[in-house]
Amino acid sequence: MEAGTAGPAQGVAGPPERRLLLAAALGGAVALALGVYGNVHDPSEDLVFTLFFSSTTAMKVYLGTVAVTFALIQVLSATWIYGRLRIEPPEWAGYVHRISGRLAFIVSLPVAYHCLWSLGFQDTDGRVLAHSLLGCFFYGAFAAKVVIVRSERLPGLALPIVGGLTFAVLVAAWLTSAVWFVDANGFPAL
Amino acid sequence: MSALRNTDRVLAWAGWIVAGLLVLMLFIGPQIVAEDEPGTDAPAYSGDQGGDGGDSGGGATTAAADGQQLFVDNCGSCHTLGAAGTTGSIGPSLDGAGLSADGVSAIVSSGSGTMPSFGDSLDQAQIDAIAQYVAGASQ
Repeated sequence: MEAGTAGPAQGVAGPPERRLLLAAALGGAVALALGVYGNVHDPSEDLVFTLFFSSTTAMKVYLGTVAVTFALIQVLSATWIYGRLRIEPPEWAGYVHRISGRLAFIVSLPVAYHCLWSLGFQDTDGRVLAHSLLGCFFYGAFAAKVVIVRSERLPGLALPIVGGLTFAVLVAAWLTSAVWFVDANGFPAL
Repeated sequence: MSALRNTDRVLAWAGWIVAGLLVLMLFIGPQIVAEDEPGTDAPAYSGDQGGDGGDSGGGATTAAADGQQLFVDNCGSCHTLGAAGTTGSIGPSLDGAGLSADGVSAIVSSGSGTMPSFGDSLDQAQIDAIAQYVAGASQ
Protein backbone atom coordinates (compact mmCIF):
# COMPACT_ATOMS: atom_id res chain seq x y z
CA MET A 1 0.00 0.00 0.00
CA GLU A 2 2.14 2.81 -1.26
CA ALA A 3 -0.75 5.14 -1.68
CA GLY A 4 1.20 8.11 -0.55
CA THR A 5 4.54 7.53 -2.25
CA ALA A 6 5.59 10.67 -3.99
CA GLY A 7 7.68 9.07 -6.67
CA PRO A 8 7.96 5.70 -8.32
CA ALA A 9 9.10 2.80 -6.21
CA GLN A 10 10.38 -0.66 -6.91
CA GLY A 11 7.76 -3.32 -7.34
CA VAL A 12 6.01 -3.73 -10.68
CA ALA A 13 8.20 -4.45 -13.72
CA GLY A 14 7.48 -4.54 -17.42
CA PRO A 15 6.89 -1.99 -20.15
CA PRO A 16 4.91 1.10 -19.17
CA GLU A 17 1.94 0.24 -21.35
CA ARG A 18 1.60 -3.14 -19.71
CA ARG A 19 1.80 -1.68 -16.22
CA LEU A 20 -0.79 0.96 -17.01
CA LEU A 21 -3.02 -1.76 -18.37
CA LEU A 22 -2.43 -3.82 -15.24
CA ALA A 23 -3.35 -0.86 -13.06
CA ALA A 24 -6.55 -0.23 -15.02
CA ALA A 25 -7.46 -3.92 -15.00
CA LEU A 26 -6.84 -4.32 -11.29
CA GLY A 27 -8.74 -1.14 -10.48
CA GLY A 28 -11.65 -2.23 -12.62
CA ALA A 29 -11.65 -5.68 -11.07
CA VAL A 30 -11.67 -4.28 -7.53
CA ALA A 31 -14.50 -1.84 -8.29
CA LEU A 32 -16.49 -4.53 -10.06
CA ALA A 33 -15.95 -7.06 -7.28
CA LEU A 34 -17.21 -4.59 -4.67
CA GLY A 35 -20.22 -3.72 -6.79
CA VAL A 36 -21.08 -7.37 -7.38
CA TYR A 37 -20.66 -8.17 -3.69
CA GLY A 38 -22.86 -5.25 -2.69
CA ASN A 39 -25.48 -6.35 -5.17
CA VAL A 40 -25.65 -10.06 -4.33
CA HIS A 41 -25.07 -9.77 -0.58
CA ASP A 42 -28.29 -9.76 1.39
CA PRO A 43 -27.98 -6.52 3.39
CA SER A 44 -28.23 -6.71 7.16
CA GLU A 45 -29.62 -3.34 8.06
CA ASP A 46 -29.26 -3.66 11.82
CA LEU A 47 -25.52 -4.00 12.13
CA VAL A 48 -24.29 -2.48 15.40
CA PHE A 49 -20.94 -1.01 14.46
CA THR A 50 -20.15 2.28 16.14
CA LEU A 51 -16.41 2.17 16.95
CA PHE A 52 -16.72 4.37 20.06
CA PHE A 53 -19.14 6.80 18.41
CA SER A 54 -22.70 7.28 19.63
CA SER A 55 -24.22 5.65 16.57
CA THR A 56 -23.33 4.01 13.30
CA THR A 57 -24.40 7.13 11.45
CA ALA A 58 -22.09 9.29 13.57
CA MET A 59 -19.25 6.85 12.99
CA LYS A 60 -19.71 7.02 9.23
CA VAL A 61 -20.16 10.78 9.03
CA TYR A 62 -17.12 11.60 11.15
CA LEU A 63 -14.76 8.88 9.88
CA GLY A 64 -15.67 9.80 6.33
CA THR A 65 -14.85 13.41 7.06
CA VAL A 66 -11.56 12.44 8.69
CA ALA A 67 -10.67 10.34 5.64
CA VAL A 68 -11.34 13.27 3.32
CA THR A 69 -9.23 15.50 5.58
CA PHE A 70 -6.28 13.11 5.39
CA ALA A 71 -6.76 12.84 1.64
CA LEU A 72 -6.69 16.62 1.38
CA ILE A 73 -3.42 16.67 3.32
CA GLN A 74 -2.06 14.12 0.88
CA VAL A 75 -3.02 16.19 -2.14
CA LEU A 76 -1.52 19.34 -0.63
CA SER A 77 1.70 17.54 0.31
CA ALA A 78 1.84 16.12 -3.22
CA THR A 79 1.68 19.58 -4.72
CA TRP A 80 4.48 20.56 -2.36
CA ILE A 81 6.61 17.57 -3.31
CA TYR A 82 6.02 18.22 -7.01
CA GLY A 83 7.23 21.80 -6.53
CA ARG A 84 3.90 23.50 -7.10
CA LEU A 85 4.07 25.47 -3.87
CA ARG A 86 7.34 27.14 -4.90
CA ILE A 87 8.80 26.24 -1.51
CA GLU A 88 11.50 23.61 -1.26
CA PRO A 89 9.87 20.59 0.39
CA PRO A 90 11.63 19.26 3.47
CA GLU A 91 12.56 15.61 3.75
CA TRP A 92 9.61 14.87 6.01
CA ALA A 93 7.10 16.03 3.41
CA GLY A 94 7.30 12.63 1.74
CA TYR A 95 6.49 10.90 4.99
CA VAL A 96 3.58 13.23 5.66
CA HIS A 97 2.33 12.45 2.17
CA ARG A 98 2.56 8.70 2.63
CA ILE A 99 1.22 8.64 6.19
CA SER A 100 -1.76 10.83 5.35
CA GLY A 101 -2.61 8.56 2.42
CA ARG A 102 -2.37 5.44 4.52
CA LEU A 103 -4.52 6.98 7.25
CA ALA A 104 -7.15 8.11 4.74
CA PHE A 105 -7.35 4.56 3.44
CA ILE A 106 -7.50 2.94 6.88
CA VAL A 107 -10.10 5.36 8.24
CA SER A 108 -12.30 4.82 5.19
CA LEU A 109 -12.43 1.05 5.66
CA PRO A 110 -14.94 0.79 8.55
CA VAL A 111 -17.27 3.12 6.66
CA ALA A 112 -17.00 1.04 3.51
CA TYR A 113 -17.51 -2.14 5.48
CA HIS A 114 -20.77 -0.91 6.96
CA CYS A 115 -21.95 0.26 3.55
CA LEU A 116 -21.22 -3.11 1.94
CA TRP A 117 -22.36 -5.38 4.73
CA SER A 118 -25.37 -3.51 5.99
CA LEU A 119 -26.67 -1.60 2.99
CA GLY A 120 -25.22 -3.15 -0.15
CA PHE A 121 -25.37 -1.64 -3.61
CA GLN A 122 -28.57 0.38 -3.88
CA ASP A 123 -30.20 2.43 -6.60
CA THR A 124 -33.27 3.78 -4.84
CA ASP A 125 -32.58 7.28 -6.16
CA GLY A 126 -29.91 9.19 -7.99
CA ARG A 127 -27.90 10.13 -4.92
CA VAL A 128 -27.87 6.61 -3.55
CA LEU A 129 -26.91 5.16 -6.92
CA ALA A 130 -24.16 7.74 -7.35
CA HIS A 131 -22.82 7.02 -3.86
CA SER A 132 -22.85 3.26 -4.49
CA LEU A 133 -20.94 3.69 -7.74
CA LEU A 134 -18.48 6.19 -6.26
CA GLY A 135 -17.75 3.98 -3.27
CA CYS A 136 -16.86 1.04 -5.52
CA PHE A 137 -14.92 3.27 -7.89
CA PHE A 138 -12.87 4.79 -5.06
CA TYR A 139 -11.33 1.49 -4.05
CA GLY A 140 -10.80 0.60 -7.70
CA ALA A 141 -8.96 3.87 -8.24
CA PHE A 142 -7.00 3.27 -5.06
CA ALA A 143 -5.91 -0.19 -6.27
CA ALA A 144 -4.84 1.30 -9.60
CA LYS A 145 -2.87 3.96 -7.76
CA VAL A 146 -1.06 1.33 -5.70
CA VAL A 147 0.09 -0.35 -8.91
CA ILE A 148 1.14 2.91 -10.53
CA VAL A 149 2.98 4.21 -7.50
CA ARG A 150 5.02 1.00 -7.41
CA SER A 151 5.91 1.20 -11.10
CA GLU A 152 8.89 2.77 -12.79
CA ARG A 153 9.27 4.80 -15.96
CA LEU A 154 5.60 5.52 -16.37
CA PRO A 155 4.47 8.72 -18.08
CA GLY A 156 4.98 11.59 -15.67
CA LEU A 157 1.31 12.44 -15.53
CA ALA A 158 0.15 8.92 -14.66
CA LEU A 159 0.51 9.24 -10.91
CA PRO A 160 -0.92 12.77 -10.55
CA ILE A 161 -3.87 11.82 -12.73
CA VAL A 162 -4.76 8.64 -10.87
CA GLY A 163 -4.05 10.30 -7.51
CA GLY A 164 -6.25 13.24 -8.39
CA LEU A 165 -8.95 10.90 -9.63
CA THR A 166 -8.84 8.89 -6.42
CA PHE A 167 -9.14 12.06 -4.35
CA ALA A 168 -11.97 13.43 -6.49
CA VAL A 169 -13.95 10.19 -6.21
CA LEU A 170 -13.47 10.10 -2.45
CA VAL A 171 -14.70 13.67 -2.11
CA ALA A 172 -17.70 12.92 -4.33
CA ALA A 173 -18.56 9.84 -2.25
CA TRP A 174 -18.30 11.99 0.88
CA LEU A 175 -20.50 14.72 -0.62
CA THR A 176 -23.21 12.18 -1.47
CA SER A 177 -23.22 10.68 2.02
CA ALA A 178 -21.80 12.57 5.00
CA VAL A 179 -22.38 16.06 3.63
CA TRP A 180 -25.82 15.09 2.37
CA PHE A 181 -26.72 13.69 5.78
CA VAL A 182 -25.47 16.73 7.70
CA ASP A 183 -27.28 19.04 5.30
CA ALA A 184 -30.55 17.14 5.82
CA ASN A 185 -30.29 16.27 9.51
CA GLY A 186 -27.55 18.35 11.09
CA PHE A 187 -24.41 17.00 12.72
CA PRO A 188 -24.98 13.69 14.52
CA ALA A 189 -23.98 13.50 18.17
CA LEU A 190 -20.51 12.14 18.71
CA MET B 1 12.56 11.56 11.08
CA SER B 2 12.95 8.00 12.27
CA ALA B 3 9.63 8.30 14.09
CA LEU B 4 7.94 9.25 10.84
CA ARG B 5 9.67 6.40 9.07
CA ASN B 6 8.52 3.92 11.71
CA THR B 7 4.99 5.29 11.69
CA ASP B 8 4.94 4.95 7.93
CA ARG B 9 6.03 1.32 8.12
CA VAL B 10 3.55 0.44 10.84
CA LEU B 11 0.69 2.07 8.96
CA ALA B 12 1.66 0.27 5.78
CA TRP B 13 1.20 -3.06 7.52
CA ALA B 14 -1.81 -1.85 9.47
CA GLY B 15 -3.56 -0.81 6.29
CA TRP B 16 -3.19 -4.21 4.68
CA ILE B 17 -4.14 -6.02 7.88
CA VAL B 18 -7.29 -3.96 8.43
CA ALA B 19 -8.24 -4.27 4.77
CA GLY B 20 -7.71 -8.04 4.88
CA LEU B 21 -9.71 -8.32 8.08
CA LEU B 22 -12.62 -6.40 6.63
CA VAL B 23 -12.59 -8.45 3.42
CA LEU B 24 -12.71 -11.55 5.61
CA MET B 25 -15.60 -10.06 7.56
CA LEU B 26 -17.48 -9.42 4.33
CA PHE B 27 -17.68 -13.17 3.91
CA ILE B 28 -17.92 -14.53 7.45
CA GLY B 29 -19.84 -11.68 9.06
CA PRO B 30 -19.02 -8.90 11.50
CA GLN B 31 -18.82 -11.02 14.67
CA ILE B 32 -15.20 -10.07 15.24
CA VAL B 33 -15.96 -6.43 15.98
CA ALA B 34 -19.73 -6.04 15.98
CA GLU B 35 -23.01 -7.85 15.95
CA ASP B 36 -26.25 -7.92 14.09
CA GLU B 37 -29.19 -7.49 16.37
CA PRO B 38 -30.90 -10.88 16.54
CA GLY B 39 -34.14 -11.32 14.70
CA THR B 40 -34.00 -8.02 12.87
CA ASP B 41 -32.06 -8.97 9.80
CA ALA B 42 -34.48 -7.23 7.52
CA PRO B 43 -33.53 -5.97 4.05
CA ALA B 44 -36.25 -3.38 4.31
CA TYR B 45 -35.15 -1.24 1.39
CA SER B 46 -34.33 -4.03 -1.00
CA GLY B 47 -37.92 -4.75 -1.81
CA ASP B 48 -37.40 -8.51 -1.99
CA GLN B 49 -39.61 -9.59 0.85
CA GLY B 50 -43.08 -11.00 0.72
CA GLY B 51 -45.70 -8.81 2.31
CA ASP B 52 -46.82 -10.67 5.38
CA GLY B 53 -48.92 -7.73 6.45
CA GLY B 54 -48.33 -8.14 10.15
CA ASP B 55 -49.75 -10.60 12.63
CA SER B 56 -51.98 -8.65 14.96
CA GLY B 57 -55.55 -9.60 15.73
CA GLY B 58 -58.62 -7.42 15.56
CA GLY B 59 -58.91 -3.70 15.00
CA ALA B 60 -57.05 -3.83 11.72
CA THR B 61 -58.96 -0.95 10.18
CA THR B 62 -58.32 1.30 13.15
CA ALA B 63 -54.70 0.28 13.27
CA ALA B 64 -54.33 1.06 9.58
CA ALA B 65 -55.88 4.48 10.04
CA ASP B 66 -53.67 5.22 13.03
CA GLY B 67 -50.70 3.83 11.17
CA GLN B 68 -51.29 6.15 8.23
CA GLN B 69 -51.47 9.20 10.45
CA LEU B 70 -48.44 8.12 12.43
CA PHE B 71 -46.59 7.50 9.19
CA VAL B 72 -47.47 10.94 7.85
CA ASP B 73 -46.45 12.59 11.10
CA ASN B 74 -43.20 10.72 11.67
CA CYS B 75 -42.01 9.37 8.34
CA GLY B 76 -43.60 11.42 5.56
CA SER B 77 -41.04 14.19 5.59
CA CYS B 78 -38.38 11.70 4.50
CA HIS B 79 -40.26 8.99 2.58
CA THR B 80 -42.54 9.07 -0.41
CA LEU B 81 -45.59 6.84 -0.08
CA GLY B 82 -48.38 7.51 -2.50
CA ALA B 83 -51.10 5.93 -0.37
CA ALA B 84 -50.28 8.30 2.46
CA GLY B 85 -49.81 11.30 0.20
CA THR B 86 -46.25 11.90 1.34
CA THR B 87 -43.48 13.04 -0.96
CA GLY B 88 -40.34 13.07 1.20
CA SER B 89 -37.11 12.51 -0.67
CA ILE B 90 -34.46 12.19 2.04
CA GLY B 91 -35.01 8.44 2.45
CA PRO B 92 -35.98 5.92 -0.23
CA SER B 93 -39.43 5.89 -1.76
CA LEU B 94 -41.59 3.16 -0.25
CA ASP B 95 -43.98 2.90 -3.18
CA GLY B 96 -43.79 -0.65 -4.47
CA ALA B 97 -41.01 -1.54 -2.03
CA GLY B 98 -42.89 -4.68 -0.92
CA LEU B 99 -41.92 -4.35 2.73
CA SER B 100 -42.95 -6.69 5.52
CA ALA B 101 -44.41 -5.52 8.82
CA ASP B 102 -41.63 -7.20 10.79
CA GLY B 103 -38.97 -5.58 8.66
CA VAL B 104 -40.50 -2.12 8.97
CA SER B 105 -40.95 -2.55 12.70
CA ALA B 106 -37.29 -3.46 13.13
CA ILE B 107 -36.09 -0.51 11.08
CA VAL B 108 -38.38 2.01 12.81
CA SER B 109 -37.36 0.69 16.22
CA SER B 110 -33.63 0.59 15.66
CA GLY B 111 -32.91 2.91 12.76
CA SER B 112 -30.96 1.88 9.70
CA GLY B 113 -28.04 3.47 7.96
CA THR B 114 -28.75 7.18 8.03
CA MET B 115 -32.31 6.72 9.27
CA PRO B 116 -32.64 7.50 12.99
CA SER B 117 -34.25 5.18 15.52
CA PHE B 118 -37.80 5.93 16.62
CA GLY B 119 -37.64 3.47 19.48
CA ASP B 120 -37.46 6.24 22.04
CA SER B 121 -40.10 8.53 20.58
CA LEU B 122 -42.79 5.98 19.65
CA ASP B 123 -44.18 3.17 21.76
CA GLN B 124 -44.40 -0.38 20.46
CA ALA B 125 -48.09 -0.12 19.59
CA GLN B 126 -47.42 2.95 17.45
CA ILE B 127 -44.47 1.26 15.75
CA ASP B 128 -46.61 -1.80 15.06
CA ALA B 129 -49.33 0.41 13.60
CA ILE B 130 -46.85 2.11 11.27
CA ALA B 131 -45.34 -1.23 10.32
CA GLN B 132 -48.69 -2.77 9.43
CA TYR B 133 -49.72 0.27 7.46
CA VAL B 134 -46.46 0.49 5.48
CA ALA B 135 -46.46 -3.26 4.84
CA GLY B 136 -49.88 -2.95 3.22
CA ALA B 137 -49.33 0.34 1.43
CA SER B 138 -45.90 -0.44 0.00
CA GLN B 139 -46.93 -3.55 -1.96
